[in-house]
Amino acid sequence: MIEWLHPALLPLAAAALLPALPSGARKALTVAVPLAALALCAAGPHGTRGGFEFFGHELSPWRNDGLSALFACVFALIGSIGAVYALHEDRPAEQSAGLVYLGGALGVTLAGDLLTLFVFWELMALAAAAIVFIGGRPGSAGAGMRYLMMHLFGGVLLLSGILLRAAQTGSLAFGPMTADLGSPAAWLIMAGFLLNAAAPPLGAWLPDAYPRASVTGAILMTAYTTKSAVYALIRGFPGAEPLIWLGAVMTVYGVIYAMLENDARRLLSYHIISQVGYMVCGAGIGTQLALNGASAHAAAHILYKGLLFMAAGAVLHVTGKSRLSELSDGKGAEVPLWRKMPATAALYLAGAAAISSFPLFSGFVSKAMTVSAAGEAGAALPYLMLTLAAAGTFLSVGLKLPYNMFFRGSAAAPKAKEPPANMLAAMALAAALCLLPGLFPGVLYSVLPFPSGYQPYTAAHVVAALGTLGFTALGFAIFLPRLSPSPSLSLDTDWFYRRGADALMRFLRGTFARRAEAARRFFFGRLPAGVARAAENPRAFLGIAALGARLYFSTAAAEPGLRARLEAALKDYPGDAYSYRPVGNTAMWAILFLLGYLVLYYLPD
Amino acid sequence: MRAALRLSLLFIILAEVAVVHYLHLGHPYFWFEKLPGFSSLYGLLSCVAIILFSKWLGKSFVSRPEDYYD
Repeated sequence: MIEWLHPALLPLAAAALLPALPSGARKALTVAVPLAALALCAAGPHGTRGGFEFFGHELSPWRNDGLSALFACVFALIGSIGAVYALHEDRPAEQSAGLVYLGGALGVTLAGDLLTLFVFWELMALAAAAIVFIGGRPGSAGAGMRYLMMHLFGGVLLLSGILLRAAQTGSLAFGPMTADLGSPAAWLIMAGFLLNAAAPPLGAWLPDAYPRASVTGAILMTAYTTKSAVYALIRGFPGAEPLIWLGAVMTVYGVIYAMLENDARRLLSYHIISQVGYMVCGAGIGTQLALNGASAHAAAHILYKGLLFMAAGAVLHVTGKSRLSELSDGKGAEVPLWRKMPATAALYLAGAAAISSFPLFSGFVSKAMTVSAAGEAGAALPYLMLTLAAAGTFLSVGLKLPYNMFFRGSAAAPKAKEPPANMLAAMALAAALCLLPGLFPGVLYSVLPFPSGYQPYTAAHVVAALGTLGFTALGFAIFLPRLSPSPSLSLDTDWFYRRGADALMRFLRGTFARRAEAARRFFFGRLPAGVARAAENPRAFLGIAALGARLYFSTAAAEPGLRARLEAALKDYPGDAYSYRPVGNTAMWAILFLLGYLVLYYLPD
Repeated sequence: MRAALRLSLLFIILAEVAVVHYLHLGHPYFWFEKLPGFSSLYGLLSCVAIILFSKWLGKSFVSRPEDYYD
């Protein structure tokens, strides 16, 4: 029975059905439908199904193999966890948009051809923009519009690449395209993927939009867009060398910008870019270990980043604050926030341990695979950049953020309490899933696309990890007095389109509007009036025009006479508009026109 | 507390030197990983470099008041 049911259709159908249902049924569906999709993805036999012909191209919307199944299952899983996290709220629009978003992400990961991928790609962009748009935070609407514009631009890049590729190769199949990187088609497709992966300079939309989604809406956003792009890069461009460098740059860029950030959820957003950098780098290295590492890191990242966003969101939900400068103002320091929200703080720290790759947590295994792959490939500089970014990740997500959020005391703390039970349950579930791959790497390996015998728990690796973490903490302790967060905003590449849009609007309202008004007056005022005047007596008008021309080119001697004739003609205008010429004249003109037409018709092209 | 933290750091770096340098349990990919205590010292170096560079970047180019775009 389920042979023909594409997993993406399930959430899409539920999203359409949702607005007609009562609140309880809606909530049940948002939790159950992702689980059903998860079952379909996990149980579905590997292979391609549901193929059909579309304008002469073979489309295969359902390809299930190890790589697709891993991403699809984790997408569905976080969809369900995010729904549990949102159970205390009743926001029908966000619930529907979330299900469409999941449907889009599943469609992208299961697409066997580029056209299907594109359709679901755009669906994801629309759903995510809607979630930001209805986020209800200060600046949500503007950020949603910017998100939509950027992703529609990315969609145009992707579609141009796909159409160009279809024209060149005659095939829409979605497989490795690394060998075709000489052609603009492959570059355009890669650029489209990279925009969604938030690679600089096309990545500023991410920290702009995610902190402006609602507390509950942001959870899905941290998972789907960037990680489906990582999936597309692993599938489409394994071993593409530029990705190694781009990924390494992303890891460091995200870490540096995160250090400057004051808003907790925006700080975590920059760390999405940093973590996705590891995956992009892994896709670029392209060995089995690297691709396994990128996939494993994507899966682990979805869960621990979801957990971190959930915990920061819980603090925002309870205290109404997400700026670290407000959460660490030192007021009420005798009762720091962690005493009021111990479970939230502990769950946050579990997520922080996972992203900082503490031994026993998922990040320790998945990050090590990617970094080791860089080592095996002999890429020394990327290897050093990835390791540096790992220290930076622990510094801001593992130390600076929790220290300021939970341990310094804030005016908001005395009234704070633990968030609703459903939020805690969702976080606990995610935390358990952060521990599982760390404790039992074999469980993780069994779902990776390639067989893996990677051994993360060697003595050397464990002491190296502890050394990096311990001495990063030492650096943090040394600089602690200078690390107080302060409210500020960091310029990023979004400056170009935010200030650019301002300048464009000023131009449109100022210079352009004046020119347009002048043009309007000419084309709708003076020009028609002139034509109407000329039409009163065209023959006399032409005569006057000819006189004017002769006057312009006349000699000084002839000028007074011409001027007198012109003035007389103007005075007489329009005069008698009817001419009394013989019919023969008209007939002659008609014959001349027909002759001219004949000549033109037979003229060679 | 503070002394315990210092002691544990010392223990970590000694353990790293012992494991990597004397027991040769690791499989270093690059020459620099054979330096004694590389991971620990590189962690400290990274941390300090990130803090100083981000402070400098923020002060000189990037940081603006929060209402910059409003």
